[in-house]
Amino acid sequence: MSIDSPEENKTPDPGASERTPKRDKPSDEERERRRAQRRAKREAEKSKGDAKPAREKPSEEERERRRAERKAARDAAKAEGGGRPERERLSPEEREKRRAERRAKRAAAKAEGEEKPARDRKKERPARDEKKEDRKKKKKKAKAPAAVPERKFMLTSSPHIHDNESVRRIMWTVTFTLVPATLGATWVFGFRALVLVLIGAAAAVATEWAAQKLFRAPVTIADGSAVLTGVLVSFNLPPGVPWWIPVVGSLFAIGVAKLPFGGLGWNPLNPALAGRAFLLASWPLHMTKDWLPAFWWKTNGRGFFQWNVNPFDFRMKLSPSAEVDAVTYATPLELHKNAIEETAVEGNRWAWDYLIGNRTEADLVSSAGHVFDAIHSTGDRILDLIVGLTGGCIGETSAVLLLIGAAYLFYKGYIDWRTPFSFIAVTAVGGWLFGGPEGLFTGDAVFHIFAGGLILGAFYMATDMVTTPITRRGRLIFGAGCGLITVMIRLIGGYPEGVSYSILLMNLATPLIDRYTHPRRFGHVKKSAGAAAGGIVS
Amino acid sequence: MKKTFRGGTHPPEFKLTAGIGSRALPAPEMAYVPIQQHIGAPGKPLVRKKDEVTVGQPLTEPGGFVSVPAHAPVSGKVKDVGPYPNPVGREMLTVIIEADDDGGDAKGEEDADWADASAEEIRARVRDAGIAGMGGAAFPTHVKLSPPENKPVDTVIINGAECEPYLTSDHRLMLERSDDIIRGALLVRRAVGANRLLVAVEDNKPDAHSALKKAAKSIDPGIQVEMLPVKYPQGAEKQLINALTGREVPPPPALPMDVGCLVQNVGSCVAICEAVRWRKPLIERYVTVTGSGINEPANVIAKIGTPLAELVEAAGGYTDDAAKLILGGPMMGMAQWTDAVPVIKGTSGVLVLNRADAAVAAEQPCIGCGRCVNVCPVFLLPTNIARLSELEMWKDAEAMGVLECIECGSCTYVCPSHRILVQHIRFGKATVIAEKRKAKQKAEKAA
Repeated sequence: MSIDSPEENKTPDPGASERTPKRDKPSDEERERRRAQRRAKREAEKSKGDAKPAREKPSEEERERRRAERKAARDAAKAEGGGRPERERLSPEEREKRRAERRAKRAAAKAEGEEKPARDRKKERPARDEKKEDRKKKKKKAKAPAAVPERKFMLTSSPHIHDNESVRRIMWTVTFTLVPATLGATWVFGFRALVLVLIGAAAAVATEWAAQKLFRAPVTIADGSAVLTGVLVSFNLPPGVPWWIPVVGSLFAIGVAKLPFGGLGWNPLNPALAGRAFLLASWPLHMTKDWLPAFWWKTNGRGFFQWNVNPFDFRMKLSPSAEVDAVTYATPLELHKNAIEETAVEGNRWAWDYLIGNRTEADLVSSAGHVFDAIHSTGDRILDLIVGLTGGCIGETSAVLLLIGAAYLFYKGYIDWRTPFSFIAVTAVGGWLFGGPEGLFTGDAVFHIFAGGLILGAFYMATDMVTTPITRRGRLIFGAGCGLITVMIRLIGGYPEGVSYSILLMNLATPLIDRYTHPRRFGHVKKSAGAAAGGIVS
Repeated sequence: MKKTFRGGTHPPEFKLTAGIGSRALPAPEMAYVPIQQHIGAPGKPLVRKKDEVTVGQPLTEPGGFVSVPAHAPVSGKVKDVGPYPNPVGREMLTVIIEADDDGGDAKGEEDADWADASAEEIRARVRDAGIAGMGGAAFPTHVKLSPPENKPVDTVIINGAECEPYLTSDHRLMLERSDDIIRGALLVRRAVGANRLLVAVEDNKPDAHSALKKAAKSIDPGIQVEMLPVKYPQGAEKQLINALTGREVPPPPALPMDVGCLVQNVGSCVAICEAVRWRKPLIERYVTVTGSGINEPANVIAKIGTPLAELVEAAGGYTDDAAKLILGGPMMGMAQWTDAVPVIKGTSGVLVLNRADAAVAAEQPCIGCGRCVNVCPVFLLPTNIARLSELEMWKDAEAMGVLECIECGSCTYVCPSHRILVQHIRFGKATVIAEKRKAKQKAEKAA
């Protein structure tokens, strides 16, 4: 229960008939005595009433008399202008009845209070505190000498100022820092990318609003966290997905991964990534095959505003000579995966070229080469990766635009450098160590940093405040764990990309990490160090 | 590199009155002197109703070693000795004096050899003058000046950080009484037999820094006057020691003397100087009257026992939307329900906030941003301790270090969810201490 309950217990029973004008606290013995008195009185009344409700007991005359009494009281009250009938006028039975009523009401209120969600209780607390303070004030007023003036001030516990930072401001700021990446994606993937992002955000907000209305909870859509979740859900989608994919993703993110746990602040998993995981498990084809090449809208008479697009149009034959219509259009990481698994064929080379958008379909068919060369050999392809002119999820491709947003978040102090740093460092080192075709130390660290969703994940998902550790060391560990899992999934797991699952898995480890990374508290220096620093060696 | 401590935050300074010279307030018509204005045992009243008192006359005698007397700030007749609203929240036995004469400044005859007073003599005079730490905590100064033999003090630090926003009383004191601060500091050093004497000023008060430097140069060139970057809570004893010497005071009940340090506020230094030199009791102090709810913010020198209403009046009165009255700074000061409460020894400022500044935002759930962890100057996990306190899990809260919280309020200040972190922690701290005391009493009873 709330911390105030002892206080509540102390408050005098409002139904007690022994209310005295004297404000001094009676001694314990005195209170005990009075309580006993009251109990005896109640017992007496009860036995008189034969344990039946007091109402039925009185005789006809008695009731007549009482009715008259009440009428008189009412009239008197009316005459006084709405004042209540005086307490002394009430008969003992009437008082007993009222007391019982009040008791029932209190019990009901208490039961209700226990059923209320934690947040509501919290909201109530300040009000209760105020009441407490009001009581105190009254007490003081009663006792204080006449010199006390009327002017009164509000009371709160220090500190009395606040730096005006708020959850709302943080969430909206993070959302706005995603605008450059959104615009970049729109340019590369066409207008439909922007529409998908907006659909995701709208669906998330709508879900939150509807669920909170349904459960009569306070609506929190204004805090910006739902919008952010929706945008991030869409950022994690291939650009060729149908419109309902982000809707379902946001629905799951908000309706299953966030609100049932208590809303913002209580969700154990990053909602956007949970939404993505749900989509990946439910519609794996859409989630893994609906890639569009960069600037697809510039090809073959398609237009920037074209909505209907069949990702199959961009799939190529395995190689110019092969008959089967296998998957050859893929993201850089998929190509990389294929290469690792030695299923790569020469045809992947032109797929790569195609996906970075500087080949026509005719060119592609005629070009050939090893996919590893394609990915790793030339600097300008890595540059394409960094700038974002490649295939991939809507929001993950342009490292530069994401980093512009992230830089602002650093400047505002909304994200800690530790998580992205250790995440990226471990991924890069792991990719360099184990990601090469010719044994250790031949992998391409830069490729591993900029391909796929690492930048998006490291700066926007692994820094989600709610689902990541609060301690500095914990954040380093969290990022390192994410990096490790990412590398493992990319190199030996079943998926080409592992950023989202790595973050989800580490989200689950967050409470544990926080538990074991408590900072050294001030003054808890090691004995020897303390003596040395203290300089009081005697 | 500038010296500082880890953690902390930097609230906007709002030092509205930094450039306004202080002026002495006339003595109040009625002075209200509570019997306890310090940490420790309350004093015992020496006067009764209708007694005549003269300025500087002790009204109470100390109720123990950790206790100091209170003195009459004015001459007049004792109107009553009874309960009266007090800045610490409860009502307290208060000597109410109807003044007939402000009685001057209560200075005694100057002791010609004051600068060579023995440690014993300094302690005795400081105690008789009723000096308690004037930075706000009001710990009896003579106790601090009496370190036990096994805990020698090698460094005396004079605290002129004044890291609380709004307050400028120490700033003005450093400008207007810099010589007395240095003299008092030397007496402190003499009383505890320390070698090193450091004076710390934050770098938002360069004029105070140079004034003290000049004073130090002319009196004793061995004194180091340091400039620290502005940060809250730099003026907290432990953080100041850490910033200047790199030492960390162990958790309570350890005191600064456990690491060989002693910290004195600049105001206390002036009082010590006057007490030793003229045997002047502590009956007045610098007070900043400021804030958005005050018409003409000012620095005043007010007699102890002056009702706050008179200070506010001297500063142009309240604005129409004055909503909150705070004794001390906005970070750690105590809100008052009435301006009838008097100025006491630890009152460094009277801050009145208007309705907009006093507005309290609704609390939201913690979003785990970790800002409170980053700013905590004693490296606790405020959000976790606050939650444990909410859940009444006192044992766990204690294990997480609830008793080590210095209640600076930085965590609540930065919390984007507007959680009342330090308030929960304070409650937990009080409960844990109370339960410990109960357990101890029980054990004693059983034994």
